[in-house]
Amino acid sequence: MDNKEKVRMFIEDNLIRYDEETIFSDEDNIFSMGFVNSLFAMKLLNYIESEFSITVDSDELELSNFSSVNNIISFLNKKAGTANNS
Amino acid sequence: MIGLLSREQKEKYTEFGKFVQSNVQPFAWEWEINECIPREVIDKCAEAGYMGGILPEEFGGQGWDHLTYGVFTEVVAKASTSLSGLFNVHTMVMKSILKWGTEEQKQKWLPSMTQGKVLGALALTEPEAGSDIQGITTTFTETEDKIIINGTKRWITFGGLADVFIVFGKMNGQDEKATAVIVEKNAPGLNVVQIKNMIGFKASALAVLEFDNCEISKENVLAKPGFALSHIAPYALDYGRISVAFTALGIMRGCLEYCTSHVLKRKTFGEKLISHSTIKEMITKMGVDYEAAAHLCIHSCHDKENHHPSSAEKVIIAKYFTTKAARKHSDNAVQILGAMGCNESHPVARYYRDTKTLEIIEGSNQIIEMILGNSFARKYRSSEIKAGLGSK
Ligand SMILES: Cc1cc2nc3c(=O)[nH]c(=O)nc-3n(C[C@H](O)[C@H](O)[C@H](O)COP(=O)(O)OP(=O)(O)OC[C@H]3O[C@@H](n4cnc5c(N)ncnc54)[C@H](O)[C@@H]3O)c2cc1C
Repeated sequence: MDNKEKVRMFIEDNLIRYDEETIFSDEDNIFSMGFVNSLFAMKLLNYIESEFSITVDSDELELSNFSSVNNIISFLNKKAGTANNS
Repeated sequence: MIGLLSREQKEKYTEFGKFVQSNVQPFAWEWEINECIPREVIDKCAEAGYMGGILPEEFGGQGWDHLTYGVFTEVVAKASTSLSGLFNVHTMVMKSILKWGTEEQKQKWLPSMTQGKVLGALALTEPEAGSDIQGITTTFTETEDKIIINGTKRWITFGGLADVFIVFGKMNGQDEKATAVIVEKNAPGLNVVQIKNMIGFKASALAVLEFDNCEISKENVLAKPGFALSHIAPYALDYGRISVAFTALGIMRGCLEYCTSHVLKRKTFGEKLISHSTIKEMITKMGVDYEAAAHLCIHSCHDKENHHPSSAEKVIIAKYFTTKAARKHSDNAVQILGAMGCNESHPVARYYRDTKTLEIIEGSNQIIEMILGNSFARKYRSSEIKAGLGSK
């Protein structure tokens, strides 16, 4: 499974909508669509840190880094680039 | 419970028990009456290294794992829920600074907090916003080098004794800029008013914090504006819920110990109380729930230790189950002890009062039902569908 699929699956497992028709694109802002509960932001951060073995620093806390599947993937790629360059 | 611990954790359990037996148990009743815990007791906890138990050694902590912290809370809470409240809020503040603070903030606060020289409290709730934390109206206004705070916080555990607070509000009043700041108790414009007559946590020095153009340095902002309610508060409350779950576990343990001693001695109608089937049923349910709650609490700590993404949910489940069970069994404990349990000088009377508040704090059990109800509905329905068993 590639990273995008992994992240999508994590988000799908944590939606608070029960209807099977709930769909969101890789570009959709999952927070503003109201699909997640108050624990989700912390859970997502926990997931990203443990699944991809990275630490998200306080100054990397930007809603835009975590708001959609594509943004999370870009953030992970950026982190991987930084790690490779250091 | 004890059987589920590692050798080191068992040794700690015994050490904590001895400490509590000499320094907490004999005085807990007096603290309840006076509605305060003397500073010397906190100094003794600090000397024993307990103020920063769960913090890393580099900041003066003991590097305990989550379960050791839980076990510590259980042992303390059995003797004094009020004192367990101190470790709860102090830990939430230290952990938040450790996770979100700048290097300067960590160096400034953590060593003195682990040594117990500085006590922390967490100020989220307001007169008009409790469960609905998004509704807080405390404002932080930026000037060139300062933040000006206006607003009121209420029901702040150890607010009356703390030296430093993490305070939640909104930067320039903007909803999307929820922010947490670190405020020292002597900041100009902060007035602390102690609250008396709580039914539970009577000696936990609850307070109202009034901020009237209170000035702090901009360096005291914790992490970036915008993340206080989505990340900082849930992160802190996750630790709070571990504390509350183990506090309830300690209370259940206490109920079991006092009740079993009593039913084996006390006779009615020529028989020991334990011989009566209704009493046996109460003791059975108490023991079974204690064991079940211990498993949930321990499991949630293991998940937290391993940074498992679902650990927050496991902690919530443990908090929910354990506080509800403690509520029920403290009620039964009073019943089993009869009039003795109705007197304030008996610990089960305190358990009876304290367990009511445990169902309200760190996310009330109704709010937990909102979260878990949705989550379970989705989780189990989707696994049924994934397995191809679902009916449309
Ligand atoms: C002993 C004690 C210590 C505390 N310590 C602290 C502290 O250190 N720091 C801090 O910031 N706060 C603290 N609090 C405050 C605590 O966090 C709040 O009391 C709690 O969040 C509930 O808020 P509330 O009391 O305003 O009740 P409300 O939010 O007004 O709720 C009232 C009742 O309605 C229920 N309810 C609310 N919304 C819903 C809903 N949507 N559906 C169904 N039921 C609902 C609640 O469960 C509750 O039973 C403390 C409280 C106590 C009692």
